[in-house]
Amino acid sequence: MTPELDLGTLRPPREYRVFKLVLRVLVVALMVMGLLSLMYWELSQSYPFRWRPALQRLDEFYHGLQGDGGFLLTLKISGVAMILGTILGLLVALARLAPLALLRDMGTLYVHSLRNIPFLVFILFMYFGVAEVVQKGASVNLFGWVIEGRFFWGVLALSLFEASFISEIFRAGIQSIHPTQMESARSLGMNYFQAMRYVILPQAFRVIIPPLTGELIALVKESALLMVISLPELTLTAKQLGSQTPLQFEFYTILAAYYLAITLPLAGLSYLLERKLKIGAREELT
Amino acid sequence: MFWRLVNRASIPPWQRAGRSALWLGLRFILAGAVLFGAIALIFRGLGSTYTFHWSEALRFLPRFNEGLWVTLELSVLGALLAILLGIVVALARLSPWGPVRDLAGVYVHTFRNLPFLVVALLFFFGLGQAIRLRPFELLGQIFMPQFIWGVLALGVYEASYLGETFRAGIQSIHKEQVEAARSLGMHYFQVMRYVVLPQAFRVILPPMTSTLIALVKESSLLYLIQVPELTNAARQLAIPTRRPYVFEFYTILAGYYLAIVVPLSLLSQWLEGRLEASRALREAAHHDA
Repeated sequence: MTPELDLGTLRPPREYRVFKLVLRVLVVALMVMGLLSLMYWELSQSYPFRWRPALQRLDEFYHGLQGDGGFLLTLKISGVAMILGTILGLLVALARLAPLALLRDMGTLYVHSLRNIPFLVFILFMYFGVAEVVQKGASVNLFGWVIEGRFFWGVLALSLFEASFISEIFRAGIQSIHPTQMESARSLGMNYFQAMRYVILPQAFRVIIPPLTGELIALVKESALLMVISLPELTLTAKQLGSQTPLQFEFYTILAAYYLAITLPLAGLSYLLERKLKIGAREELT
Repeated sequence: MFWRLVNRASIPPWQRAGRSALWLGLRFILAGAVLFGAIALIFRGLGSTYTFHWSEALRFLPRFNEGLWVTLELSVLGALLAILLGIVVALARLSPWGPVRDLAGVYVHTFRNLPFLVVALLFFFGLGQAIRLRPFELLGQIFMPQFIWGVLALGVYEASYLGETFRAGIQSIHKEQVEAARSLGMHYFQVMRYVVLPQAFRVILPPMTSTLIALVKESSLLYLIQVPELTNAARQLAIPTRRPYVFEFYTILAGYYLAIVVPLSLLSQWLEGRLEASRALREAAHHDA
């Protein structure tokens, strides 16, 4: 069946575009499958693949070996760290834009020292170093609020680290708005906070959103490193399963698929948001 | 009016007017002291009773230096592989043939959305089981399988980022430039060599250096597949029961990474500023003519 082309309009009809997209996806899927199965066949000469026993452990991937970890814990860690990291990042960005040089310098020091060390080193530093110095023990008592120690330090490390990247995004976004905007808002009688709220931030938002969602995806990926402080999240679960049954390749492939299941939808969402927020997008859509 | 055209960014930050190194150093020492004091107060408030052993910890610096060399080797080899693969991926993403573009797209989006740790584990424990590499000697140095898998994982992972950087850089050059060059009688490779790439390079350089810096930092994860690099050295030294000064070891470790990465990012800032300045000069010359 060949779809009809309406030459009167600039864009080909919807059916034709859908047809082309489906065809494209099919061709790529076939090619990827072909390449992978070629590699698979080659590898299976030396390594016996056993997918069935590996796939029977999917449940353990979902909520961990003890039922308190796995995929759900990764989601929990990333969610809490996203909120904390964004708030902290905004605070640091405001400190870096403060009129007081001491505050600016402190912000600069914070951002540059965290951005320039690997996250792994920072976790090790926080959990084995700082935690050792501050409070020893399996749980942290935060002014009467008892939190599991590894979870507390893991989420804290992730939030502090990502805040240094997020703060740069906020700062760049706010600085991308021309200073005359602030000046004219002030001259219209708005105070500093009104000008921020009604003039600067709505415009900065458009610049901030694409890199911010990118950074939040990076945060989900960084959370994998929390396995080194034996926080039983997704990656540690895969590692533990791999040491129980020697199905390493299968388990790590499933692990990769689980991460893609979190990050790819986020990436798609950020793509859609970006398209929607683009200048002039509203006219294009209608 | 030459002096006006010299971009402020082209001068290294420590030489800019009004910012003598001494004054800048003093400012940052003050800021550091205030920040450090605040953190120490928080520690005390949380009930800390820790004694520091800096001199004992510093005696282990030679162990860190051994790890440093492996980290540098990993980073350099990984970066070379990533750049080569990245160019291939970028050209594939710009290929006139649809399926090749899409295939490269699948590669890029898969690796960009995976944690590097997962890729490293998949390479070493997954593929390493199926493809058994043997240690080999090259130029008087023995390369272990975990080192080779580490370099491969770094290269393949970062190539997915570099590929996008290269593609964006090439696409940032207006199509008219290519068409004009073609109409002057240049063929495809001449156009790339003399028109597109010199201009694209300026766009590519800043994100490329930051990806390469990220690569140095990612290399720390390779301690989990037993590559004897910097982080591994610290992990082996910091055993609380035998040497109860873990805080000091991890601080030294962070210091080592800062010592590699901060010069790299200053270098990239400086290069960026130079490229920017040369562009400004050329444009000014163009306007005068």
